Amino acid sequence: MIVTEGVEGLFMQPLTLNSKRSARFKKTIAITVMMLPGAIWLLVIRYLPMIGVVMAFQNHRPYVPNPGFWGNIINSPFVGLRNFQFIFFGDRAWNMIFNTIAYNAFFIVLTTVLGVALAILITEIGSKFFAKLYQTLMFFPFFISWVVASYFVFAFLEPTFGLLAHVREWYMDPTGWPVILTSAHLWKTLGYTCIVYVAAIAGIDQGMYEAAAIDGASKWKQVWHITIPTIKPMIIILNILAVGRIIMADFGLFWNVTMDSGPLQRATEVFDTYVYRVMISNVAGAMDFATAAGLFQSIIGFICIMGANAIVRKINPENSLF
Amino acid sequence: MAGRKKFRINKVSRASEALFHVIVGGFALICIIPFVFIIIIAFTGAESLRTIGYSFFPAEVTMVNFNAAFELGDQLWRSFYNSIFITFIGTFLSLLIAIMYAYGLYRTGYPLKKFFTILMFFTMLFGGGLVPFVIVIRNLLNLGDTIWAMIVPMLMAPFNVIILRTFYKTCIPESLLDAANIDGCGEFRTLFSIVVPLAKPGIATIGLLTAIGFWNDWWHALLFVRDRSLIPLQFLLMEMQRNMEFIRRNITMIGAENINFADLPTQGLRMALAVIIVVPIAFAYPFFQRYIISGMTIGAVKE
Amino acid sequence: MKKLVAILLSVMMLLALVAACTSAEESQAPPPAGDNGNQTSETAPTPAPAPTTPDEPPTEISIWFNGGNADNDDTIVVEAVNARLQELGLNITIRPVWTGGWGMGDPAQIALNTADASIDIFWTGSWGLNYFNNAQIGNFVRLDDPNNNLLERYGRDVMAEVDELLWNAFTTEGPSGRGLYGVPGPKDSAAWFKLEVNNDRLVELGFDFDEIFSITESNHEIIFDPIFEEIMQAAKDLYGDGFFPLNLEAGNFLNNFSCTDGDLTGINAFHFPFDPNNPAQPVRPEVTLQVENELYLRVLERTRDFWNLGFIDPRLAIGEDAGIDRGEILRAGEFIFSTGQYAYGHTATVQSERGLDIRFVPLSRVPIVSTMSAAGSGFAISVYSRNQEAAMQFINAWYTDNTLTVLLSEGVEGVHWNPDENGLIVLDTDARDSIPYQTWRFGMGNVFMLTPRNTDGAEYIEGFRAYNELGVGTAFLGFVFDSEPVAIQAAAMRNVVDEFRTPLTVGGMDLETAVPAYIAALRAAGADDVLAELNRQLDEFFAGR
Repeated sequence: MIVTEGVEGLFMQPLTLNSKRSARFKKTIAITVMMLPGAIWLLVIRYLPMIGVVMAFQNHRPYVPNPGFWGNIINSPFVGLRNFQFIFFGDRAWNMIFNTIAYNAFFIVLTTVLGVALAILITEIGSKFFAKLYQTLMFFPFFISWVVASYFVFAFLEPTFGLLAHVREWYMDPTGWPVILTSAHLWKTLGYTCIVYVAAIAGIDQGMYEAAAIDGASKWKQVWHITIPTIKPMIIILNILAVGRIIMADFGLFWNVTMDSGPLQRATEVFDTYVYRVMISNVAGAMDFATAAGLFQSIIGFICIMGANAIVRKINPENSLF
Repeated sequence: MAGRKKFRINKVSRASEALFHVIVGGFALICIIPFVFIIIIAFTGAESLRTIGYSFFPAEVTMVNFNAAFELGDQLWRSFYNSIFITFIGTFLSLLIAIMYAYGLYRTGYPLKKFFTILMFFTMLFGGGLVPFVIVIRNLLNLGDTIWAMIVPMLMAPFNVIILRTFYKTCIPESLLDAANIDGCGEFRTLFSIVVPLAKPGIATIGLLTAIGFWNDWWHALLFVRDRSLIPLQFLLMEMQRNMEFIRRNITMIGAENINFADLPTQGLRMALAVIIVVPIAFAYPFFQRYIISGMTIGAVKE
Repeated sequence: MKKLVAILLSVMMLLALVAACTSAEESQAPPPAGDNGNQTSETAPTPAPAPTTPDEPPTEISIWFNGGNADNDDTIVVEAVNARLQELGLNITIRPVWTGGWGMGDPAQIALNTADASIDIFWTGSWGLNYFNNAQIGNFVRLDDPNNNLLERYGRDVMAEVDELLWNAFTTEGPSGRGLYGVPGPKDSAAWFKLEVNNDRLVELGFDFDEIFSITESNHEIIFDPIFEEIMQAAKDLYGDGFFPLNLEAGNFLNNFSCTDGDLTGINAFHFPFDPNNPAQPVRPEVTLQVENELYLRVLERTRDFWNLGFIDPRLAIGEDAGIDRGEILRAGEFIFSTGQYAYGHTATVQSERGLDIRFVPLSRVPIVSTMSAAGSGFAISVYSRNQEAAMQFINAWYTDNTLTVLLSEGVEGVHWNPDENGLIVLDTDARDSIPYQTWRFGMGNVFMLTPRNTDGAEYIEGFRAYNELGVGTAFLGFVFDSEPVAIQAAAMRNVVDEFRTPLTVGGMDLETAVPAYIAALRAAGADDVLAELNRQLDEFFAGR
């Protein structure tokens, strides 16, 4: 496109060049106007509150002589990195950091592979009725909150009436929980991931497949050479975003589905549950700790996303996030 | 005619398709069973829950839980209305913002593209924490105790915008837009008459996500709303849930005598509410799905 | 057409956002200024509680209530309260904020943490919106601040009305010095651990209550008595496997039998012992980790035996609401023994509500008064409140006026209730259904200002006072732990406690492996640091007495 513009420019008279420039200016203005609602929202709702990051480094207290947002921020003492200490305090902390990253790594790989596979299968199902039906059903877990879903898991595993109660004391024994939680996560998110990919596949020009079929390409080859390359940008973007959340965890999954049963902690404690526990503990400064933890998660996420994006850009700048 | 025939030829074998049905259908079944289960619990009597626990085959089937839910009366319907209002207005406005914002991020030759990408992307990772956020919404924008306090904070989801931008990228060749530009089509017209129809599957997908996000949100109601006439449906359920959890956590301190157990919602009532909450949004699903699937035929039309 | 609409809408939205922003900027300037003004206005207007000119608009006080019914239709109650306040010469109106009950305490905390000036008075307690934490942080106004003594100026009546013991329990360290940061709610300040016995089933099994239990002596050793096990075994044999004779509250059972004052650090890992026969022992008891206390371990072993015999519902090891409808079990009497705390008037309520013959066995000779039970409920004024003086005036009037108390606790006469021939309150259940108004009676200000209900009997208030007088303060009464110096260790310990405590205390864990593991984990989390700090603060506390 840039090339054509340049070529056009070469052969244009000065007058048309001017009008060209003004057209481009008009275009820029028009698009900027489109961006404004979102940009203003971002500035007010997301950027303005960032002043609060200061609290992560403070022993934040109401300033009694003149309490209020500004008064408190200006007059609370700075404590350096003290609020971050609890994130690394003892082997339990390292254990939960390990858990968080390990679960996320599993989730990322499985969601991508299974999501793409399911999407391809759905689009290959000839009957529109069934394709629609399956999709609808697959979306149901998305409507059910973890609190409610946890009762379903409980029905199978509970010690008194549970259908699988005879296998082991599920809620006392961490073995098996990585599998249960991974399954639960897939159950909840696959439908949605799958839909994103189905929509991406739906945008592919059918003519490409037909041309390939005429050339004698097998279905498998078509998937490999047409479908996957076309939806690759989507796969990459979703994964870059997921990598940015490597140290964040789905609180409901790890808190509700495990019924917050203590003995499971070694296998199920993750960053967000760890912080939540501290937050509700009535320990002095719990709010400061939580703010610090949030900032820590952001920084790690930022580093990871930048790394992932740099790698992608190196391979193919088209697919990178920016 | 010929194209149609080819299309039919280019299909997997019957045996493979049967296998696909088993795999996809099996997963779909796994997805729906818990919901069926919740419905069953919602119809199960307390006596049955106590004696045989959660079961697919309750000893006693009853409408008691739903009656109890409907006894919430005015509150239930008001919350229902609030949820619908928030979801409709919220989804509409946030789709509008996302469609336009994603367009700028997608359009090559737009000089501020990188700036706006980073402006948005940065907020996906960094937040300011709860306290200043609450102060911005309540004190600065003055939205406390209005229905907008539950809409404005969720108007834009950077994640969805990025997804939508990627949709534009994969589904719409930019040459098409340049051609439109040359034809004298302004950017607004290009966006709404060319891009939007072509990106319907993508828009429907994030529309669905947004709608569900609004429907399931209770957190902003908790933060900003004290007027009971404004609370959404999901908040009612969460309120019950939190009460139960709080009691569990603090039973040693409160002492059982302080709690009138009769006032606590039963498991059945909570399940009944969960069902009441899921049904409307589940019905909204086919509406979006129509567009997601309709994308499948676009390719054919193009040909 | 669609396009046009879309463009129009986006422009409108843009304008709205811009407008919101400019108004935001406008309002951005005032807050600090307003806060400044707040400080000066605190002392300037409302010079005296004395007669107010009727033309002046009344000051609106908003009060955050915990518990009760979130759907309260309080219009007529508020009208009546406002009228009464005018009668009392106070130019104040109130706006109650009812929350959804127990779990909705944290919105109150959020309101405080986010400097919300729209709430003047908060309900506070030893749980829920924690009084001591918020006072220590500085979220509540010190009421007896020498520089601005609200209590002295506007709270004379309430100072005289509320028991000194409660004022002492509410005294704590805060940013404005050691003092009172709230007004304690007079209620059942004494806690009495009890064993609840289902006598209907006991009779069915062929045992005689009076032969086994003494209701005048301490019964905390009862679980070691072979008869305790024998009864439950009999029940198990008669009612089958699905019947669990020992209905525990997860975590509470042990506390009750191991004679502890709870854990005043809030970490739930330390043992603050008292002597069940003489709770107010003068010597300072030694505080240890719970699982290092001998009696605690003995109770733990016994509980483990009961667990192994199948007397305890295994779901309890997961948590209190893990599929167990506790209320339903209590209502249906599906237990032999149950644990909990005794509150005044509880017996009668339980008997009438459940229609069962439930007996109560006290575990200590007398009820005990601890920091937790004494500071169980109260009201505090937010530091962000712009109407602190009016708030104090209101609390003063409310705590000392029967009309106001009855209005806020029970509703309006002739609507929500009617007086019987003795002047007692007879609730009109139908009216309360159509105009919902329900509160947590024990948490609403001063219980002793209430008019008793007909179901309570005329001697209710006297009985209540007598019960409270029975209570004996433990050695630790008045002690409050400040976790600030060891906050990180305390937070880490809480995580360990969450892993072990619930399953351990209901007997769900093998003691031989779990107890050493628990102790090691607590130590690794810094239990020794916390204990050292705790002992330092205790030394100070006992030296100061």
